[in-house]
Amino acid sequence: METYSKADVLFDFLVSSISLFNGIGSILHPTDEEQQKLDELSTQGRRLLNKNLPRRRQSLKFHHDDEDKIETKYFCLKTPAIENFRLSLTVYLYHAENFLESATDKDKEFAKIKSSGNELLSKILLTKIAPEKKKINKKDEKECINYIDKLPNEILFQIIIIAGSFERSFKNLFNCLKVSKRWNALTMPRLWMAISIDDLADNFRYTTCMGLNQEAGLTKGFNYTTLLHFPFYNAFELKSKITLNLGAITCSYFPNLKDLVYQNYITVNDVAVILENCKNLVVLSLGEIDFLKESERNYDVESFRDSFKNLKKFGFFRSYSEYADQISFFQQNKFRKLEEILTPFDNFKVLSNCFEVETLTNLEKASLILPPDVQTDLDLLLKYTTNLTWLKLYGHFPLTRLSRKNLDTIKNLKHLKFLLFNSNDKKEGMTFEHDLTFEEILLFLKEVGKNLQSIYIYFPDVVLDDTILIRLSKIFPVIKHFGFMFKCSSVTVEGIKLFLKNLNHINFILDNKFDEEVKDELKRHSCQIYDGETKEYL
Amino acid sequence: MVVSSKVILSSSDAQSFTVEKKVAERSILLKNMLEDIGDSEEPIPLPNVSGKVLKKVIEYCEHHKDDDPAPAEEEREVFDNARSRNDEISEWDGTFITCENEELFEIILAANYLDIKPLLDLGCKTVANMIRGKNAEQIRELFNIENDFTPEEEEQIRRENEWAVDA
Repeated sequence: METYSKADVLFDFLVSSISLFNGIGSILHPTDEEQQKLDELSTQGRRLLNKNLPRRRQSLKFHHDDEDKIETKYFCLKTPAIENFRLSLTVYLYHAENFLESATDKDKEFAKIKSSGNELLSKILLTKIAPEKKKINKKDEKECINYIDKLPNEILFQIIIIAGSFERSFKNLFNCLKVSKRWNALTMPRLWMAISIDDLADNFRYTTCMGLNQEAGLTKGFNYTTLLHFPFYNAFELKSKITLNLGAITCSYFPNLKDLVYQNYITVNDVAVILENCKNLVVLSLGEIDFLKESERNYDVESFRDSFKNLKKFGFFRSYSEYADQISFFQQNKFRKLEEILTPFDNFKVLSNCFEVETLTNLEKASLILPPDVQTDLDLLLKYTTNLTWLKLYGHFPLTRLSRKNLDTIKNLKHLKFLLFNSNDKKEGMTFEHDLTFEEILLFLKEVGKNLQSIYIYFPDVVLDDTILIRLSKIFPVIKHFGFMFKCSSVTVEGIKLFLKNLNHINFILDNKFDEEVKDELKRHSCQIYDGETKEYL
Repeated sequence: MVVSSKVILSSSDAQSFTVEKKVAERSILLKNMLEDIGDSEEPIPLPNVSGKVLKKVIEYCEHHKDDDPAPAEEEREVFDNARSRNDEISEWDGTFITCENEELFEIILAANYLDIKPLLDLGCKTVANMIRGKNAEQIRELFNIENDFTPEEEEQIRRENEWAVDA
């Protein structure tokens, strides 16, 4: 604590008084009359102090708290000139309150001067400082305005995302989450979507999330982005290399989970449990299903029957079964809202028995892996799927062949935009019955091709030349992806030029072993030439 | 509005600024307007931008008038590449955007309104930098945000998302 003698304080007072009056002069711009009065007071004060300056120096504590009180009283003005004024006033009042207790006559005289000074000061304060104070209050108010919440959600969201991306950890997002309800709502999806499960080493985080999901009232899911980049909130995907988490799914309850992709081997009993625990699943994509023997199934048939009712997308890649009754899996269930299916029917004996086909009118996308001798069943299945926009038919080359009747059925699918006839794994596509001529197939394509944007068909026996190519170019007025597997060694640059002239919007073409000149022409047309596996193309 | 490649912009408080067309076209909004209305000598009114902010925005556009056009929306990958973009704040941009909160947010809103993506990004990055490393209370204090959570809600949020701190 600093200490001051009485003499020091009085001297301070003198100096302060002078600076007080100077300060007032410089800041408040008193009138001439006021300035004259202040000068007189200053002179009187100086004279008085000169006469009474103590000879004996006494130690005296100076209480800074008092200054704080005065500061509060007169509000803090931070400019140098105003600060000068404030300090002057502080010492002035301090002196008045502490030294005039043992007042001598001269002190009383001094008190009188002080009183006059105070009176004058009050007047000046009222008239001169009030507007200043108002201005300062306005500035304080301005500093208290919440500007950031005036930003629209999309900008604040972007700011939060950038803040969350600075480090690999989620700390910044976690902090944003706790700021306010608005920030919480914007941050929560990002925080939970950012979770990814790379491998088993991340299992700790995975189980933590799952556990918290349960504890948190199951309002959040999380997204495993590495494989398919699901853009969905409430999506959950486990890649096949994660093998031990099925238990966590089957023992967890996720009423809000919408998408589940699980690419492992799974039994039909597990499917039943998952559906029981995830009542609102919209997307269910599974790997290999083991349908089990009837005697090994232990789910409740009644609840299982209704558990698919909300599914819009359902698919599995393989079925594992040596049991002929596997169809009951489908027959037991209602897929009334189904819009997309990927189903390997190649082991199924009677395809059309798999679904109540008349309930498939909502179906928009179908990827079907077909057994040989499928023709009749396929017609029955496609008869009701009149809203199909995507149709992918995979077959066992060369065993699965489409018949004339099949093509007629497909022609009735008026909304088709994507048509693919392919094999399950190989580059060769599904083919046509031997009695179908190429002209008939072209006629079929002409009818079905009006709205097609993508096509892939395999013609193993046809040698493509310029004439056929140009005919094809007139069949598909809006095609963008063009994949025909021909023997096309007879195509010339002139032919490809005419082809591209008719299809100037085409941006993708499957490489049919064109010669280099043809390829160059395609490249000049900015047409991507795909020369990889057809699986990737599709 | 267009006088020999010059454009007159009129702010919400009726201040007029004459700028090169090239400068004005850093704003996609103005670029589209200029394309739509063609040559005109009328000032373009910008009712959502004050003169003070418009002056700053013009200063930015002047400085960046020779930059490449902003990439298309789909190429920007704003969200995923945010981290890598963060270090790209140039010295000039950093100095330019150093201002009071009020002005900073007005610039962001103006950039959004005028559709000047790089300026919007700069503003967002600057605010994100201000948030970086601060806890919730410090963020609230920084931006004068009211804490509208109950203690119970705060506790629930902490409990549900605690993993994020350790992850």
